[in-house]
Amino acid sequence: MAKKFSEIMAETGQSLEYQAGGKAPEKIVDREVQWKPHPRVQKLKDIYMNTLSSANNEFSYWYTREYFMHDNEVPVVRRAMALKTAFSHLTPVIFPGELLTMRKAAFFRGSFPMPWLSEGFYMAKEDEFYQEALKRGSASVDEHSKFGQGGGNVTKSFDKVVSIAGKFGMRQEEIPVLLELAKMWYGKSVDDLGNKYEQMVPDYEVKEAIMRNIVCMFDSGFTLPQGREVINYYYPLEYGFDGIIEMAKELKDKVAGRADGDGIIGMNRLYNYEAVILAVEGMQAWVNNYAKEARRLEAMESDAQQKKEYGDMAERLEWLVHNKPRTFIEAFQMIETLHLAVLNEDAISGMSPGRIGQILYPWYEQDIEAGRITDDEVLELLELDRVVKTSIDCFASMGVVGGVLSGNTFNTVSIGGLTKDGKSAANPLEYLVLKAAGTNAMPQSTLALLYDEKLPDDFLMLAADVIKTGSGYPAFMNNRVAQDFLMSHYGHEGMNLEDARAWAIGGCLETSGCCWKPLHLNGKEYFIPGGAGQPTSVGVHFIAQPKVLELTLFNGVDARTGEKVFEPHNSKLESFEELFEQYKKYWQKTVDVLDLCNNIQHDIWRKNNMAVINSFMKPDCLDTGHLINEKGYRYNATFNVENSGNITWVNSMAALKKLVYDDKEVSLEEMKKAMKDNFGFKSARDIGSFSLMDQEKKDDSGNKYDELHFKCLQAPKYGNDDPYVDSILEDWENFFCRDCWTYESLYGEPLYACQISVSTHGAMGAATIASADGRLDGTTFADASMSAYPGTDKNGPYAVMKSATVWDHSLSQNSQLNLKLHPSSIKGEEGSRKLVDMTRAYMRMGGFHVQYNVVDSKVLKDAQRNPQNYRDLMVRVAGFTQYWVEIGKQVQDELIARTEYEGI
Amino acid sequence: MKSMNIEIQTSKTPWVDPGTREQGLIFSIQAHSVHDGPGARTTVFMSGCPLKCVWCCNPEGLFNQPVMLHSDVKCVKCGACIAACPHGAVSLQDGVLTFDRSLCNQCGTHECVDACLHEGNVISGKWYTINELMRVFERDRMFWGSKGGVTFSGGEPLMQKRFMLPLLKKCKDSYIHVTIETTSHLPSDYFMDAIRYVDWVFTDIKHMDPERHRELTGVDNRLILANIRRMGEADWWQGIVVPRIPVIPGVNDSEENIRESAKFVKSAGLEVINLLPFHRLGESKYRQLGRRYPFVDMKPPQQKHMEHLQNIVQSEGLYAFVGHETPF
Repeated sequence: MAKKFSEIMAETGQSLEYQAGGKAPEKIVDREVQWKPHPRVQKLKDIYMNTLSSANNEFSYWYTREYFMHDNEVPVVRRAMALKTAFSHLTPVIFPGELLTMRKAAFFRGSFPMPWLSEGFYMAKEDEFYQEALKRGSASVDEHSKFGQGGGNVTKSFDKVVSIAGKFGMRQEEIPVLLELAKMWYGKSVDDLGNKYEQMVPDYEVKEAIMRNIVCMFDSGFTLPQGREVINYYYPLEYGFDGIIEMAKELKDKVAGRADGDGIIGMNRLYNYEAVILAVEGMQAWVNNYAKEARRLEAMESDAQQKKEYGDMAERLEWLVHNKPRTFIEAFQMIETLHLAVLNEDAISGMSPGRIGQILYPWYEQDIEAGRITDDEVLELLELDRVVKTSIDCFASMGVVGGVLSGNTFNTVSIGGLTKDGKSAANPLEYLVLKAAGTNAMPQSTLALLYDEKLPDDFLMLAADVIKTGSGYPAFMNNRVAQDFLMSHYGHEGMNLEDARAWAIGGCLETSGCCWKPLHLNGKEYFIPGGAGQPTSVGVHFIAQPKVLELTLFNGVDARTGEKVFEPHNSKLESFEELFEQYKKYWQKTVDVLDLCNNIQHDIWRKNNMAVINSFMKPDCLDTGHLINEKGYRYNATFNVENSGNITWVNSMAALKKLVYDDKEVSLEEMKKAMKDNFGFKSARDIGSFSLMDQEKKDDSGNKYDELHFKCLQAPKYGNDDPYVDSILEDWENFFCRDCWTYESLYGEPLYACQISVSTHGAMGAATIASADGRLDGTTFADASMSAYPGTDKNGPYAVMKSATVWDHSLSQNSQLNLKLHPSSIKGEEGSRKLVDMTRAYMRMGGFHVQYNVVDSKVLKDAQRNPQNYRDLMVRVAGFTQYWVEIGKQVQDELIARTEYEGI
Repeated sequence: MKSMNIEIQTSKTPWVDPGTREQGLIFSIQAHSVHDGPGARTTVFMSGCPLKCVWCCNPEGLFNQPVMLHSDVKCVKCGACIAACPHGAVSLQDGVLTFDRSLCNQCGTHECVDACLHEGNVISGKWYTINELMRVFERDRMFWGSKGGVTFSGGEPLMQKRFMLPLLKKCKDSYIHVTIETTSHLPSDYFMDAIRYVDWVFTDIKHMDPERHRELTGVDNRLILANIRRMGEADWWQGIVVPRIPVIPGVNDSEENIRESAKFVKSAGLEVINLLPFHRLGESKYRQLGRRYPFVDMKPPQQKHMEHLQNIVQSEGLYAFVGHETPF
C-alpha cells in the first residue's frame, strides 16, 4: 500500500503506543475520567451526603413580625423593612474547612417557609386551612408527584422531626410557630389575594377545571415567582455595599418630590431608593454576623491552620460589609453572599450565577499575575462553590419541588460563548470552571456550554471529558440560535448584537437576556456579563399537549375523571385538519385563561412582594429608580408558555392521521374506546411502574385490542427522519411559537414558547389516559421537547437530530434533546472527538440544546433496587443533574427505558 | 458443525450474489458507529458471506435473502403464527414454539411476521437502492466529523458485486470516506478492483494454517492471504490496511499462530494488527434463528492473555491494538 498507517496516524497527532492492560498510557485510562476533589472539598462533600434537608422559622418569624408592625407603610418600603430585619436576625453557621461561607438558614442544607407567598400547604393535613387549599385545583398535582425516597429528603416524620412540604425536616416544637405564622398570612398571602382576584376572570371555572385535571401543572405567581433568570453581581462588585448606599442616597436627593414627566410612577423612585438602602443595610448586618461568628470560632480554635483560616475569613467578611472586593477569593465570597441573599428574598428556583468565568476573570488575572493565587487554589475554590450551591434547597410545595424540579435548584453556570466584541470567551478561568465540574461532580452548579464555532477545540474536548465523569454536564446550548431568539424577541426593548452576546442560561435551559457592564480593577476596564431581564419560565406553566388532545377527542371532557373541562366543541372531527384545528382552539383557550389568571397572581406579587435585592442589582433599576415591578429591568418581555409531552403528542397525531384518517384502518370512535380501555392493560398507577415496557395486561381483557395497539405502536414515530410524522412537528412548532406572541403579560409584553419538560412529563403523564401512539394510561410522556419516546427511535441518534431540526429553534426560547450514551461509545480521546463532532453537527443544523447521559441502564436498574449502594450516583433528568436516589420513581423508570446508543 | 445446520460453502461452490444491479440486501444500518474505522461512522451490514466461521457474531448476515428472526422473549405464545403459516412450518412442541427452519429459511412471504402483534417474529434483511442509501449518507455525513464516513460490513460487504461496485464508486464521487470490514476471500481481480474505491480496509486473519482455517470457516486461507499481500503491494492505491485477529480461546490464540500471523503481516508490508477478543454478544441471534450457539460456555480471553499476545505482535515489529483501544 502506498500510504503508511503510521503516517496517517501521525498526521492526526495520534500516539501509536496503546498498551492493553496495566501499562496503558494515561491517554486511555486517565480519560475514562475519575477525577477527585481536593481533600478539603471531599470532607465538606461528606457532610453534605450525610445531611438531611432542614427548615426553621427564623427568617419567617422576623419577616412577619416586622411586616405587621408597619401597616399603611408604602408597600416597597414595608417589604424592605421586613427583609432588613429578617436578614439581620439570621443565625450564622460556618463549617470547618470552608473557604467560601454563608448559608440560606442555620443549617448545612436548609431553608425556611415563606407564608407571605402561600401559607396553605404548611398546614398539617387536619388543619382547616390545608383542607381549604386541597379544594383548590392547584393542590391536586401534589398527589401525582413523588419525591425520591432516599438522599437528603425528609419525606416522612421521625422522632421529633416533622416532615414538611414533603422534603424538609422541622423540629416538632417549631410546628406551632409555623402554624401561627401561617395563620397571620391567611387571606393576605400572594396565593390567597391572587386567588381572590383571579376568580373575577370570567372563565375562572375553566381555569379551575384545567388545574384540577392537570391539563396544566402549577400556578406561576405564588409558587416560584422569581428564578429561571441570571443574577447580576455587578454593582456590589464595582462599588461595594457602602458605595451602593451612597449612590442611592444621592439619587434620592435627585428624585425626591419629582415626577420628571412620569405622572404615574415617577414619584415612586424615592421610595424605591429608600427600600434599596434598607435592604442593603440588612445584607450588611447579615454579613457582619458571619464575620463575628468567624472571629468567635477563631478565638476558640486550637488548630493553627484552621485558626488562621477563620481569621482570614473574618477579615474578608469584615472588609466586604463595606467595600468592594480586592482579591479573587473576596470577589468569590461576594458573589456567594449576593447569591444567597437573593435566594432568601423570595421563593426561587433557577437563580443562575451566569458566566462566572467572565465575571471573576479580572481578579483571577490580577491575582495570578501577582502570584497571589495558583490555578490549583482557584480550582479548589470552584470545587467549594459547588458544595455551597448543591446545599441550596428551595422551599415550595411538594408538587412544585418534587414534581417539577426533582428537588433541583438550577444554579446553572454558563461557560463558553462570546465576549462583548465577538471573540471566544473561553479564557483560562473558564477552563477551570469546567474542570471543577469534573473534579467535584456534584449536581450544582449545572454547567451550560454556550456552543459557538469560535470556541477552541480543546475546550470542547475538556467538556467531553467532564461528561465522561458521569456527571451529565455540561449541556450544549447553541450560542447563535439564542442570539437570534433574543434579538427577535427583545428587539423592541433595545436588544442588540452586543447585549445578545452577553446571554446566559437562567434556570435549567432558559435563554435569558443579559448585558455588559464595565468593571474597573487596577486601572483596567473589563466588560462583565450579567442578567438584565425579568424571570423567565413565569406566566403559563406546563400544559400537557397529550391532555389537550385527549380533551379534543372527548369533546371537552377529561376521560380519566369524567369532568367537563371545556365547552363541548361538538365537531365530528372528520378530517385530520379538523382535528388539528379543534385542538388548536382548546390549546388557545387553555393558554388564554391561564395567562389572565397568572397575570393577576403576578400583579399581586409585584404590588406586595416585589423583589428589592434582586432588583437593584439588575440593570437598569438603579439608573431609572424603578424596580422589577415598574419595569425597571432592561428586558421585560420574559413571560412564557410552557409545553409538556410535545413528542408524545406528535406521535399521537401521527398515529391518528395514519390509522384513522389516511389508511382508515379504524374509526375514531373505536380508537377512543381503545384509549379509554387502555388497550386492555392495567393502569400504571396500579402496577407501580411508569415505564411502558413494564406494563401488564388486564386478566380479563382477552386480545381484542392487541391488533390495534400493535398498529398504534407501529405507526410513524418522531426521531426516525420520517417526514410523515416530522412534518406534524414542524406545523405545530410554527403555530405554537407564533401563537405565544399573541398573548400579553401583565407588563404589556408578548409571551414566547418555552419547551422544556423538566420533570412534568412524569406527573402529567400519570394523569393522562392512553394515547393513540400506543402509550398506556398513566405512563410518562416522552421527556424534554426533542427527545424521542423511549425505544421508538430505531435509526440512531443522527436520525433523531435530523427530526429535531425540521423547525427553526430560534422561534422558541429553547428546545431540549436528551440522549443517553453508553460509556463504550465515547471511550478514549477518539471517543471524545466523536462526541464533539456529533454535537457540533447538531448545532450546525440549528439544534438549540443537547445533553448526554453516560450511564449503563443495567447500572440504573440495580440502583433502583438498591438505592443505598448508589448514594453517589448522578444522572440527568430532563435538563439538569441530580442524585439518582433523589429522583421520583416515574422518572427513574423512564431513564432506564431511554434508548441507549451503544457503540458496536 | 454439521449439527448446527450450516451449509458449508467451500471455495469451489459457485459464488452466489444475493444482490442485484438495482438493489442490495442489507440487514442493518447503524448510525454513530464508533469502532468501525476512523471517526464516527455509519455502518452498513451487507448480507451474504463466503465464509461460515463457527464463532460468527452476525449469523443473520450469512443468508442470501431476508430471514425471519423469532424472539422468545417477546413471543406471548398466542399461536397466531401457527395459524398464519401456509407451509405448516410453525408448531408448538412441548410448550416451545418451533420453526422448521428448512422451510422458514426459504420462505419469501413471511406470513408469520404479518400475523405477530408483539414483534416476536421480525424480518432481518431489507432491500435498498443506491439512491436510498445515498440519502442516508447525505443526512449522516454532517455528524461524521472530519475523519468519519461509511463502513461496509457484513456478512462480506463485497459479496454483492453487482450492487457494490457502483455504490463504492458513487461514494468516492461524493467524497465519502469508505471503510470495509472484509474477509478478503474474493476473486483477486474483483477484490483489487473494489478496493480502488476504499480508503480503509479491516481484514481478518482467522488462522494461519490452511487446513485449520478450512475447518473453522469452511474455506482455506490461501486466497485471503494472497489478497492481503496484494493490497500491501499495491503502490497505485492510497488506502490503509488493518488486519484483525478475532482471538478465540483454544481455537486460534496460540502463541505460535499469533506470531505466524504477525510475521505474515510484516512480510506483506503492513504495520499493524488489531486483536479483537472473543465475545458472546451474538448468542441471542442464534436463538432467534433457531440455532444452537456453540460457545455458550466459552469465556472471553483473559486480559493478561491479550496483553501477552499484544507483546508477541509488537515483538515482530508491528503496532498492536487490543479491542477498541485504538487510535482510530
